[in-house]
Amino acid sequence: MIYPQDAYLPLQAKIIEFIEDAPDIFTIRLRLSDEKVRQKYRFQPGQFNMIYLYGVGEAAISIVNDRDFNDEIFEHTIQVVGRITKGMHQLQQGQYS
Amino acid sequence: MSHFYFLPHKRLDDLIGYFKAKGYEIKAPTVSEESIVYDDIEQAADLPWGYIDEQSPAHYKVTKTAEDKAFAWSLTVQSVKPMLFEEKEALWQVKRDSQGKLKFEQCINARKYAVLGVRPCDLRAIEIQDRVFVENAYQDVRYKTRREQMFIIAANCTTCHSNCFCISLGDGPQADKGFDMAMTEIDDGFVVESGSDDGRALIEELQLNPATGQQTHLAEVKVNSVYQKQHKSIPPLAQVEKALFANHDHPQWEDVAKRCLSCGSCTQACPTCFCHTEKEQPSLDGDNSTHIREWDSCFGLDHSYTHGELYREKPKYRYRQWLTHKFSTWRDQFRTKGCVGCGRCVTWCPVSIDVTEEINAIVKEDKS
Repeated sequence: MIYPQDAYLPLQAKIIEFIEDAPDIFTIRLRLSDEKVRQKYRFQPGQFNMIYLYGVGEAAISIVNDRDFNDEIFEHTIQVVGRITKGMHQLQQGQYS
Repeated sequence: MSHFYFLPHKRLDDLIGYFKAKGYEIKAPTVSEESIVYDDIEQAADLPWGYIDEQSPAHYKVTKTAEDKAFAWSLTVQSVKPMLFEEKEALWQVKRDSQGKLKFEQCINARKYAVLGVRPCDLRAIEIQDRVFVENAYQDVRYKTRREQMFIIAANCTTCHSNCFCISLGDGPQADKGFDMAMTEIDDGFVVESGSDDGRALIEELQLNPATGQQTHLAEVKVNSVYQKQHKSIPPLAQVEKALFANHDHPQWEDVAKRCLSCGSCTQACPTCFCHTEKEQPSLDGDNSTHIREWDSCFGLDHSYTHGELYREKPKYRYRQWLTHKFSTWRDQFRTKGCVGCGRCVTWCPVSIDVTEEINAIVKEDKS
């Protein structure tokens, strides 16, 4: 049985683009895999996502793009600071997070 | 007709049998390693018959007496908290396929407990944790599932230990809500009342006789005796909330920090503390990973680690964070208080820090 409304359960997203902004700063452009979830996904200025890196853990990262996005892609600009962001820096376009 | 009934000691096994037949896991106070703790019980004989507990700052001791009572003691070492908010539990699992796609699976430990003998302070603590885990914009379905299935039998207090201060918080010695059935132990049994439809069904099934006027009177006298036995207190909460917030630089914080070991014992023994951390447990072959939630403490150095920095490096800041959260900012966050006066943090502090003394020291000098 799947219990609904589980705030802890992550949703899969695909890396549409990976941009190296600076040696220790990068931007990932993400698209949620589940279409229904994608259509419902909204955010407000100042909100963040808890981003999970497979097998490593989660980190809270702000959303940086326009909230009136129309291509269903959202962006995170991340600085390499700790263990998780260091691992995220190794990701590539086409991978899942 | 009175809504009080009488459950003789010798009928306790029928009560236990009722829950067994309905598929509940029965958790009740029992003596283990010289302590009174909640554990699985099979029969009424497993209860702490004749045992009493002695608690004072950094001191705990149980003693066997000749008294023929199952609830002559004051308070279990741990509260009901670990049954609802488990010390360590898997939240979800993720599997990665050959194309790198991830499949997330929910994990839920949907255990169905019948808890026998919950003290009024611990009942109130459940109500507070409900605010944190359920009555919020985001619910924890694990806590919620176990909470909804839980059958609660409260045990009113007829005694207290020397660290109890529930009366000054209005949380004891009598349970007023939040139970399916409540009981008060008198000479050879319990005066019981129902607090829900499930509780009424239980009393009906057991075909209990109504309690006599003498029995209900005796129960009332026993509960009221706690007012004379309890000596610790804190000032009215509104005053405490204001004073703690207005005195962030009070020398008392430095003073308590010199004594505090930052061990986090108080937070682990507390029935309302909910701080936790999440950990990742990847499988050795790399095919899957389990995401785990585990109790944490605001006294731990890592707890304030954010963005490569520690925000509460000194014990002074950690103790201040804990106390002001419990007794002040908790209300802004959850529309309720964070303490029920059970006194566990005082009993289990290895260096005898007494939260009531720390609060009183600051409130006494408050000029705000």
